[in-house]
Amino acid sequence: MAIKVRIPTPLQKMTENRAEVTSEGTTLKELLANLDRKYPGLKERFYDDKGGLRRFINFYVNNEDVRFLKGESTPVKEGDEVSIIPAIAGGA
Amino acid sequence: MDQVIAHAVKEYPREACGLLIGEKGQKSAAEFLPLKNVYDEMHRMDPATYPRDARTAYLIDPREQQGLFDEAEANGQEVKAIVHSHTDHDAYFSEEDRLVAAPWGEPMYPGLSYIVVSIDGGKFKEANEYFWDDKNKGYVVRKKERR
Repeated sequence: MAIKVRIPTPLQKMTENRAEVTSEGTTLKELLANLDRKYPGLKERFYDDKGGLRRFINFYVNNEDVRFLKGESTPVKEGDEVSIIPAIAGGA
Repeated sequence: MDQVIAHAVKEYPREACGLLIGEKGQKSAAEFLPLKNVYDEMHRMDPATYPRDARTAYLIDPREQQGLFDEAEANGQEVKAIVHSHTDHDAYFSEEDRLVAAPWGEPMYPGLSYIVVSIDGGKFKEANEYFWDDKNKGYVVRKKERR
């Protein structure tokens, strides 16, 4: 089962310049692990040193921020669209 | 720049944010698009991830951001710069700004500059534009404005 994943511009050099790829899994965690197998190195971009999803990378499943779903355990299924969006944020 | 300052003054004491969007590959004047700082909303929903408030932090809604980048691309345009204000602080590129702009030692948005506007006591104080310096692997100030 293929799930569409939108890759942000800064990570496209790791996905053979593709803005959209597919991956598999039943949760976001599995989907990201499979994505890293296909395109090695992505995992380091998704996770921080403590093994959590990076604070400034947003993961959306069908337009819902996974922080307000089940985080990494958010279920995914065929036909879903996952978006990876680096935050534009900061402050004094 | 007048529009940027006007927006930042209007939003004071909250940090203001927006994007400069212009024709792809051209250095001509870009249009300023003011955007909503959604930091307070996120702070209410998830204070652990978003511990500050909008007086010292900004966040552009990621879905709105994605839509605007897509729209610019479809129109032969591109985002030229990311703009935000610091209220009652100078227009430096803070540790937090740098962390988000280049979390793993390379720019998250290559080619884009960051414009920081200082609004002090409700009035414009200064603005600085920061660019990625590939040689030194960090953001450096290139353009300053004082009034």
